[in-house]
Amino acid sequence: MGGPVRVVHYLNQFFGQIGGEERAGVAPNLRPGPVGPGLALQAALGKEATICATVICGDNYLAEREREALAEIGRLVAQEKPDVLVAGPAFSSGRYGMACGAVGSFVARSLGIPAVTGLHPENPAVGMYRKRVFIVPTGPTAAKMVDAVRAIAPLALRLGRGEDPGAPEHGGYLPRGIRAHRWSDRSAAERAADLLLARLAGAPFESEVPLPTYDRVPPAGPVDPRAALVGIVVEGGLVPAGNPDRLESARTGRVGLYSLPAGDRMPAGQYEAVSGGFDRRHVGADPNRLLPLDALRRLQWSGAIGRLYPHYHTVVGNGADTATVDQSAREIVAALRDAGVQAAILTAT
Amino acid sequence: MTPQFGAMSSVEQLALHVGRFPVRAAQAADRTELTGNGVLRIAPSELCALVQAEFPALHVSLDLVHPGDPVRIVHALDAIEPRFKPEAGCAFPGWTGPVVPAGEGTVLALDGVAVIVSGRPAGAQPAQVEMSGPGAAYSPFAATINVVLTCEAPGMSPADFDRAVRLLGLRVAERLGRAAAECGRPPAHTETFRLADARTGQAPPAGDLPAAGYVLYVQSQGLLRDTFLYGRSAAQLLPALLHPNEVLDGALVSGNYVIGCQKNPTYLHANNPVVGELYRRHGRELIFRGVIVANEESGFAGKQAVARRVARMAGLLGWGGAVVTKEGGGNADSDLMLACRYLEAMGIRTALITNEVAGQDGASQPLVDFTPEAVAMVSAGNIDAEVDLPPAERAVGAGAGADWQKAMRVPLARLYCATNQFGWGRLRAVSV
Amino acid sequence: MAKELERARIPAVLICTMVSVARAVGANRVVPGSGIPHPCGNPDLSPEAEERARLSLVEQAVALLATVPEHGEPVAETVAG
Repeated sequence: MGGPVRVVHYLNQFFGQIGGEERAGVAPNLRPGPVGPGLALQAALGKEATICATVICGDNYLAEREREALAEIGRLVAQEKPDVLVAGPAFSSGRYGMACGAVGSFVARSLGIPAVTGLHPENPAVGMYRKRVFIVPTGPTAAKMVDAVRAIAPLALRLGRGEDPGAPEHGGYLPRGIRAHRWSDRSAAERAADLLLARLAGAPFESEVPLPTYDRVPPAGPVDPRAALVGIVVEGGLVPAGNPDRLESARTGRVGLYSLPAGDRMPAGQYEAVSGGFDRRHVGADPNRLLPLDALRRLQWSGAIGRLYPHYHTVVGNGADTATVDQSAREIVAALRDAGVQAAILTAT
Repeated sequence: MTPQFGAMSSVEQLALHVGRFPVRAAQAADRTELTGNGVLRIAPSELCALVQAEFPALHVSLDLVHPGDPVRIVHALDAIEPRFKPEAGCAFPGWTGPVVPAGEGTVLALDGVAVIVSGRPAGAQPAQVEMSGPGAAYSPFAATINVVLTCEAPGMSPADFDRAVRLLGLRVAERLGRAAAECGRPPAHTETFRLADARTGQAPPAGDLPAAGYVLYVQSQGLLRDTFLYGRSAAQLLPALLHPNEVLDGALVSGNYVIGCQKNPTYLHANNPVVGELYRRHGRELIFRGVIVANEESGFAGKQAVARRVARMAGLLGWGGAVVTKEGGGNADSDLMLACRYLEAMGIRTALITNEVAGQDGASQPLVDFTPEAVAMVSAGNIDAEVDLPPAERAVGAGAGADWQKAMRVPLARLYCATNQFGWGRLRAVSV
Repeated sequence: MAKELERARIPAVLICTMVSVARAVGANRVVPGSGIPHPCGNPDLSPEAEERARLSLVEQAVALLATVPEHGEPVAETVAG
């Protein structure tokens, strides 16, 4: 592997020298070599890398038609066969920052090409994209363009060469919040005792596990259940006895879809829970304990529920990480939406 | 042997002497004995028959595996340190002898040996030990000579199988420990655990040393995820206060066979690293004031009730701080966080040990549940990270065959005790 | 899961034993279940009592669909056990 690192540079319509706000709707296009601030970036990279092309897209175009824009940008980037993508820097700019994050994230995930950008640490795009794109912290405005490209260049070179970027503080990028393994020189028990003593002494201490942050979604609805088509989702892997589709007992992203039996309850002995995360005998003895069909049918007949969607989805939550869970969730939601389901009852172990 | 009950020691004076006999190799032989140069000779037929009277349908075979062997041990259920009490009591009260409070007197241990029970009860998650190669760093049992008991019992009920293999493992462990007692030599070294100062015989002066304790959550949520205190399932256990010596002397036995990396096997209960650490600092940086054992209930209301009781008990004991550990993950995270919340509300500072579920790429949230009071946590590693393992020349254990010898890429979850939450290991995760 | 449904504007109610987990991940409607191995059942009760308890649980869940909840506040504890 010889030769300079190949870089593709992503810019918006303004830095790409196409125009100002009035050109923010311009579709993705490609120019050979560096453009605008790309010249400063090329100077900072020196002989070790070549900006072989610049991809330019209007901020509004990308914001309003993200899927198409990313597909086209991906195509343009791929044909240049770069080793690394540099986007921006976008400093504090909201739309441009989001665009850099979206493009970098797309290229990293779909093309396997590492991506780096420069953003002011308070740019909202940082929270959204820090895990997928390397973000070099910059000042608030393009007045600091030269400093910014000089900070971006060494990281871009390392990434382009396939080298370890190093820990955030050495690599010059914002911590991504990605958990990576290390071997400590002390056991966890020793470190726990140390931590406790530090707290008891009022000395400074640092937790090793960050507390998670979850976004909240405002509640949907309400709906009148008497008129609604209600769908059921079961976590715990409830499958017909014998597990005909071989749903795994832990950590799977696979989704099971089965018909609700026609009768007034889940028949004993014909279903089993496959999740390894709990004692499954109670559900085996009476599957209504996990999918309360007997109660649901009674409510349906009394009119408290409009209609029951005649199938149920099931997933195995046991040990699955949140990314896997989110993906199965989106799959199920799409299916229920297509089926016109208006409300959902979920049961989980 | 009738246990002799003499005068009862004061809590401070209670002393447990753990006498260790290093073992440098194990080999199959006609008799079970420990030789003068540290070789453990084992009669397989004697050991494999130790539960035959009660469970004749159990098939048992025995393998000896040494550190560095190109071997993969598969389907590990429990690991137990060979131990024997030559005077009063037994090594596993409630299992191999009557329930006598543990924690006092002399217990002999074979150092560097583990009995590993292997089996495939339905619903257990496969757990493996790599005895060499890159996977070895992840398990404490890559460094021990392992007596692997492979158990099969087609047609036996799950409850019977569960009891049979547990009883077998504990009896084998005690039988091997007895070889130390019978070898006619004293232990190579003896460690004494006592809350009183060894020189003065008095409790260490508290002065301004903070009082601290250990909250040890066990998991007892039905078959395959059970833990036993003095032979009884912890399912109905209300939080119990133990002298730390009881934990070190066989009061707790594991029956937990899910997610291998998170296991707290019997071996690590008796060698609990948190108890060891708090003892090391006792009288110098803190006053160690006991261990509260609590169960991870399966209902949320139950978890809350237990956590509140734990906090009250710790408050009554005058603890200023507590290390809290759990077994398992997912729903066990809630127990950890509830205990943290209620202890902190009681003014008791906490330090928690937990593993993480941050996804294969490390980008998911590391914890399933959390509370804002959890400001001091120690990481035991990400169970979702994947490890590449080279092929093993031999696989040992239940269901071991050519399939298990292959090279494989496995989530850390499969490696036995890799993210042990008693804090045995040095693996941790950091944010990058 | 509940959050993804809500995001798609399908109101969802979660019957789940790990109420604090459900709340931590932002589920908006939660009914406490009867136990991890049996969220909608209780083997300690007689079959008739268990069915009545289950019906009550599911009625509460359905009722929540018709409300606009505070963030993930669980319904009061269901029938003991």
